Amino acid sequence: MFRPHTASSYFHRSLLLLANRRSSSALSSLSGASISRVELTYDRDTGIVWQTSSSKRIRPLYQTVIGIEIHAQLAIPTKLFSSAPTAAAPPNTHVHPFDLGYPGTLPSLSYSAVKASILSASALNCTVHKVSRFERKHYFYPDLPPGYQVTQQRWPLGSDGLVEFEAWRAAQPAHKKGDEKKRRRGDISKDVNANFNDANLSDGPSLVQLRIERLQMEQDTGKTTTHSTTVDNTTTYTSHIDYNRAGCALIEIVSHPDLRSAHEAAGAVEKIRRLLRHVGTCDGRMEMGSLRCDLNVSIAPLEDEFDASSDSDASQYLRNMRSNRSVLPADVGQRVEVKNLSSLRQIIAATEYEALRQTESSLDGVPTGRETRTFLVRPVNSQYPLGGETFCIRSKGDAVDYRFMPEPDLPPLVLDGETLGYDDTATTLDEYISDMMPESSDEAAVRLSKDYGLSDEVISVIISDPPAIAMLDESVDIARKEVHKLNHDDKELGSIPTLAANLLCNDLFALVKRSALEGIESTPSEDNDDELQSSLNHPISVEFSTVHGKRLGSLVAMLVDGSITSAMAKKILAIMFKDDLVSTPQQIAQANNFKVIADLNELMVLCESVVLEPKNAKQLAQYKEGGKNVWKIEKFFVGKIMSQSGGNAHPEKMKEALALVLEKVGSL
Amino acid sequence: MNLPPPRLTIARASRLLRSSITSQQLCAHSLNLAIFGEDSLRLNAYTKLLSAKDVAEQASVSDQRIKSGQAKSLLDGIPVTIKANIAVGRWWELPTACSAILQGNTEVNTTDDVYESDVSRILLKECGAVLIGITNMDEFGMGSLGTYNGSVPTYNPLPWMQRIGTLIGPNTNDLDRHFLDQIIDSTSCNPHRLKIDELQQLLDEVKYWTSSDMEVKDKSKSPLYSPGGSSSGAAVATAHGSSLLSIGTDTGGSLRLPAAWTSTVGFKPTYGSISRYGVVSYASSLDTVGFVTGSSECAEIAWACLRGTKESKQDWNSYISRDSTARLYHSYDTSPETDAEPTGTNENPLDGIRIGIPAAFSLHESPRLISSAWSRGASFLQSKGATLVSIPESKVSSQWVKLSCAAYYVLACAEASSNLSRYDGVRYGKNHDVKQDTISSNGDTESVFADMTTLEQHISATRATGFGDEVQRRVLAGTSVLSSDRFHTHYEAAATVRAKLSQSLEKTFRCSVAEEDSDGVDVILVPTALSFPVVIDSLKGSGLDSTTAFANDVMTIPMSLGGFPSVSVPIHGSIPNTEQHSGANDQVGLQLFGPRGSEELVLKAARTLEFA
Repeated sequence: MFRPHTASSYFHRSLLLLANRRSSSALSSLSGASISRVELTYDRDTGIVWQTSSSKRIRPLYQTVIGIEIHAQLAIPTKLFSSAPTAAAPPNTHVHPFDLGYPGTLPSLSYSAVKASILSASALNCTVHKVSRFERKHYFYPDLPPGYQVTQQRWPLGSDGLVEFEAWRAAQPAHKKGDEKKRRRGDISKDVNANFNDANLSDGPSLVQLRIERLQMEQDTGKTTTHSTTVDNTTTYTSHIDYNRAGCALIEIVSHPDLRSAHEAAGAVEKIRRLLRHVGTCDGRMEMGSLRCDLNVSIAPLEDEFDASSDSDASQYLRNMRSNRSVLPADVGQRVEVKNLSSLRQIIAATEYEALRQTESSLDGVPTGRETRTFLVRPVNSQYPLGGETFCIRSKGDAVDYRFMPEPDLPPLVLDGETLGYDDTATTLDEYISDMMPESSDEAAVRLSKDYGLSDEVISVIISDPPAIAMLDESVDIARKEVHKLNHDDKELGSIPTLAANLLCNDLFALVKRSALEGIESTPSEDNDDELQSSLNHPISVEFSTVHGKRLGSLVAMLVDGSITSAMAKKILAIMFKDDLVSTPQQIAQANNFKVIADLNELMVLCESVVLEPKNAKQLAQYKEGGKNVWKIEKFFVGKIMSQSGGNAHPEKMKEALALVLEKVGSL
Repeated sequence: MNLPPPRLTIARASRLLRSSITSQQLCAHSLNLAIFGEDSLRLNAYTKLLSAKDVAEQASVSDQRIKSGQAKSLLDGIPVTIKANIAVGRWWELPTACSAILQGNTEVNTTDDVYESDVSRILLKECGAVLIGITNMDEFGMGSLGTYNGSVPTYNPLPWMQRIGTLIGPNTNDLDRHFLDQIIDSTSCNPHRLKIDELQQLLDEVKYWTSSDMEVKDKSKSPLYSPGGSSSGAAVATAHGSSLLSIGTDTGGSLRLPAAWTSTVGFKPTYGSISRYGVVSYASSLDTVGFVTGSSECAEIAWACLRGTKESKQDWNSYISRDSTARLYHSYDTSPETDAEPTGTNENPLDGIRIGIPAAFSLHESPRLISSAWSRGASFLQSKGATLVSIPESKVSSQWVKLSCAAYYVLACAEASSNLSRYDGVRYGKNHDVKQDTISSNGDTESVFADMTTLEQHISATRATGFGDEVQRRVLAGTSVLSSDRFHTHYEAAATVRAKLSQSLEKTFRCSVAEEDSDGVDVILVPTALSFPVVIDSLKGSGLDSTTAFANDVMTIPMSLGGFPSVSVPIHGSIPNTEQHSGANDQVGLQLFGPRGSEELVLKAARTLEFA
């Protein structure tokens, strides 16, 4: 039914949306007057808005209270309700009539989407409901052809989840305490009262708990882009719609307002992103829009909560705040929704902007009402070098009534054995989940230690990057299959996992990191992974490696076979990573003439030729003299022979051969 | 009593195709009848008639199959029509004729891979039927009179058919001969083979009544009656004889009411039994694809062909996958007693079948003619071996039946407002120039538009000018009941009524009651409508306000809410020794319905009832 050509032919009508409400509404930026009246700073770690004077903290005023909504595109090949593919393609080519709301077309729920949603819900520790239902959410917009989005409202697939994470700053174990020099640009708060912060965070990185209210399946919309053309000083704006994205499967994850600071919000999003990537349901590429975040930010007054002059009181307050997240602070203001944030940096920037904006409004005696705002990426005001200004797209007065209605074209989704695709229809949802869920990182750690005997240090590096676990498993399997010599003893075979893990952790990670750095213009300091990731907007992961488990495994097999040395292995790995993305390590070794010479006779010939070389006659004579410097001469010969062999001589075997040759020659 | 001429049945046509005539001849005759109906009788049954070439092309393929003994089904080579809200691929990719708002969107696609509904693919490609035309309807299926189609109303052909019946005289015994003569001599000017002066007289009369000059006419004598709606064209085409099987849709009675008013058989199978894929949605949880035929026997044949034989039901499953709600359909095993044939002899074909007569459906608004037809129908079924069981008020409450009408309009309007959101001028609907079309014409509108963004102005203008009045009324009502402050009071209340009524009806069926409970029934008999065809005026419509028109549906809505298979069968309604007359129609529609999946049993009872 999918018809790329005919479908695309319907689109040549570009849309003139003209000025809509967004541009007509005044951008509510902070007025200069109010800034001069009260100087404010936002602490991204604690989420407290301070009144400051000449950068010195005077009084804590407000506490931010934050909830998040995440839209994650499911990594599945077709759309939620139609057979159109989801892969990237020229505009309006991956479109099924259903995606365009052709009158009479009907939805067919994708099984892959159901599976991915169940796994996602389980990864976030949600209760997966055996029965969930679809509903329609109505609004008119050209990128939504049917005039409604099919979503889940009252009966979502998952609910009541819990995510534990570390706040953004503390997310990296490598973070050095007291290292105050490397501050992110624009991070005013930290400079102001570093002591206060550190005093309260010194209990070490603690886990924050975020309750997930619901996880629901829904459709994505088309993508609208605006183009302008200027003819004779008249600029015409046209809106173009690409329906390739229309109908793609999304999951929406809604949290409770349990977060208290910008860095907690960023940490929570990052954790959810990693969890979804771990179960393989979303690639988590925020910069590509496959994971988008909305924030609900409000502020709660602090005046009566604690006396800022007393550090102990302050830390007591912070402790309470952290332990009592499920209770909303008293007098919390109306929540403001900030839409469509596409990086952790934007999440931090938008929270900070909202904290300050809402505080100012409140100080001016006009607290912000419930509204929806959008985020402006480019910095407008020098006060916000990260960008982050938000502007209003909807306030309470013109809130949209979405007129939710049960979706009559879809029966309720019942997750019984039959729907889940089991022959034994008595199979339960719980059994399905345990069958389908990939190993958690904790389970992986235990297994890597037990089965592979890896050290804790290596394990902690590998499990911090879930794709690395899979890569290690694959390379070990491959290496075990490819090892040539049949007479390997158990000890040699047992060295495979360690060899593979070492190559992975030491060499491959370094290559991945270096190549990531090359992509950035202003190179952040290399040893601050935190900052590096924030500019990259994706983790440093072997997921982005050009060397995969198969080639790594072959390389390990060659090492175990002794056909290459570990120095060669490092060289081959570097070539595979950067210069030759397709060849096997064997082919690369051959092309570069990397071949261990381990045959004793061959080595003896080689040794003899070097030892007897006329220009080495002097050294040979010295050797024959004997004495305490004999070992120096031996070392000299080793170097010469190794270089003669192009590095290919097996070091141990070559020494053995040399000894025999010298013995023979010396006796002459 | 004036009787319309006999109708050609599918069984007879099929037999003639295998002996005396070709499908090309039969379908050409059907097309002639259709053209005569449109041009001469001004019935407005069709929104589009296929060209003679397109019809002949389809028919010749059927002829080859029939000749070589490889007919696809009994419907192979049979002339059929499809309602305008159903996509039929090659000839009508987008079903644009179901509303004026879609008429800017004619998409022509000649490749094989076209947007085609499941039902038209099954009917035309898998069963081999020959499409004659697309039938007229109330816009988006909203309306019960055939007057909301955006132009001239569709007219009931019965008065003209009764005239023709009188003119060609009493039926000859040799019906085969009668039809063969007609088919072989068929012309589009005189397909009924009337004498020239009689034809001229008939045409003059048609002209007199359908001309716009109404002043001199005595309305009480007008032969222009409503055929009922919304599948008006489907019923009219069948009643006139141009179509032997007219596919339509039934949301709250859209097939059964027109069938009752045109003396045809209207069949709404179980909700979801025929895929809705490619059928323009009105109220998705109620919309059901069904058909109008000339007789119950035709309906049985059509049902068997469209559903597939027992052996090919496996194939059917792969088709219904395009309509997720169709997966809920399970055909109901006819109870062992009725399967144990041939206990029912020709004399008593309904032996062992229990027929329920619910007191709740006996409303005092029911005209005497209809009530008496109902009793007569029940007695007749009893005389054919059925056991009558009265269903007391305590089991099915008349309160629920009366409320069902309100519940239906809340739910149907809510779903309609949702389904019709897509006609916003962006992808579907005429793209109106806001200023030209709306603002300049009306000062008040200007102030309404002033608060809107340009996009909102475009959408509003498109919908305000593209939708007809009735559609706008229902979309507004639906938008209102879905709004957050009315959803709980209106929509949810309506859903509760729907559930209560469906459950109480379901509990009366034998398949759902405990075996020892002998009260269970197999099918239930009720009237189809509480009123007779109304006189309509080519200019002023029916004169009924739309709320009164809603009440026409009170007898058909309960089965729609419950998703039960239901068939309307015409029986003679005249009461001896009285002058009471039903206007256009001497016949009254009675309805038989059973539990979901019981189509075969319902149609079997209908076949008996037809002879009452």
